[in-house]
Amino acid sequence: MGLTITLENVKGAEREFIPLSDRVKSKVSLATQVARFYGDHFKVERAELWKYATLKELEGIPLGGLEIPDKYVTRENEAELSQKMQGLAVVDLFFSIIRFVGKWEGEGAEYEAYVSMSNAPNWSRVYGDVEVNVFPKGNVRDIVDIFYADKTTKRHLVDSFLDSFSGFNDGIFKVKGIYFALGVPSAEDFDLWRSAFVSSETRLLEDAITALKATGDEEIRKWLAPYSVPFLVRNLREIPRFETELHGFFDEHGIVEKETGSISYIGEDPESFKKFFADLSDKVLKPVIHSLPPDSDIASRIRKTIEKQSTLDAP
Amino acid sequence: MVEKLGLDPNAKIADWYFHYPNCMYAVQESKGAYLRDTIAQLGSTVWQLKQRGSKVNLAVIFMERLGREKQLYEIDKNIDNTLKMRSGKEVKVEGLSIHLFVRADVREIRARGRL
Repeated sequence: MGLTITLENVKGAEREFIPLSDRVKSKVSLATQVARFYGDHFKVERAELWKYATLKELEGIPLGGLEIPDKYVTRENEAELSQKMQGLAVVDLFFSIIRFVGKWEGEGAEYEAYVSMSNAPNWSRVYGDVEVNVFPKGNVRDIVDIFYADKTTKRHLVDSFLDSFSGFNDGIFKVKGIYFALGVPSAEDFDLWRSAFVSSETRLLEDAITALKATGDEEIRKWLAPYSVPFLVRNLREIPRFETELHGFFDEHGIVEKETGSISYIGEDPESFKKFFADLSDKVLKPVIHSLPPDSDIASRIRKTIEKQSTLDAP
Repeated sequence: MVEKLGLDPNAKIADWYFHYPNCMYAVQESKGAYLRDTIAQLGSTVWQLKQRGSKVNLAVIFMERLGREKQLYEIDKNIDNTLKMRSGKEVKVEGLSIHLFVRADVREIRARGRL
């Protein structure tokens, strides 16, 4: 995942007609702000425009680009890029992806890096609306390995980023989620998260249960099948003891909760989320799940009720 | 590998280039957390190797799991775990098919004793 930002329409804006070009411009603006935020490390070389995907091997179609000689995305670059976008056919704009490509300069090492903005729906569903990452090299698998190299780096590159971008709202889009994680952002891979900004604690717990369902444990999957994730979370959150346990796990595993309208969860260590998830699963969720009537019991009750009803109705 | 083969150390480079006893030359990438970026890395390495006149017959990726990217890609288990887009189009780098194995596949193959 590296760093991924997902966006949502600002309330009210979804009812208004906002031209596609303005929506794309809004995302381009956010992507350039992100590139500038990391400007001390991220040296931009060019901006690439693509349709569908950012590789020809993945059915991507190159739509041109822009050289960025100053290694930093200036307002002029942004304006030139927006102008190029305006010149695209509507279908190209609809499936467009912009990628700022360059080098990430770290402690004595350099990595191929990018900041991407995606407008293509299937692509952004998987990779988010804006993303930042490096290509793996040496011991670095993902940019989060650089971000979490030590506590000072993390504070500058993760905590400050969350403080600066969690409130993004330009009247068209606002930030829905920000994820720092290893690999592609997904609730199923909760144990790979490092830090996150999500709408609420409820959302965080829903993601944790979704991850538990996805672990491949057949017994858990069958047991959970009759119950919706929001139902389980709603009922858990009504128990004061559960809230105490939950916050105890946050403290124990170094997850700092910061409320900023929505909530940022900052993992102090690379393993914070993994350990939190393991404790939440083993000490709370799994015992709760095993105390629920399994799907076979519920199916049997349905069958018995219907059969009983049929017997009563029989002439 | 970079020094020995004279590859560009600043370019995207895969993890392994090796030679099977049956004369096959393979490039393998196994570190990446993203399939998309792993494909780019593999493609860049195969291109560089071919430019230098080195043989490449196989492109292989090992990943922990496919995760959310399975919405875009699929593995054809009937054709040696060949990687395809969801549209059905095969993903190729420099004309080579990509064979993708996740951890669960490796366990299955070990148990079977063959591909």
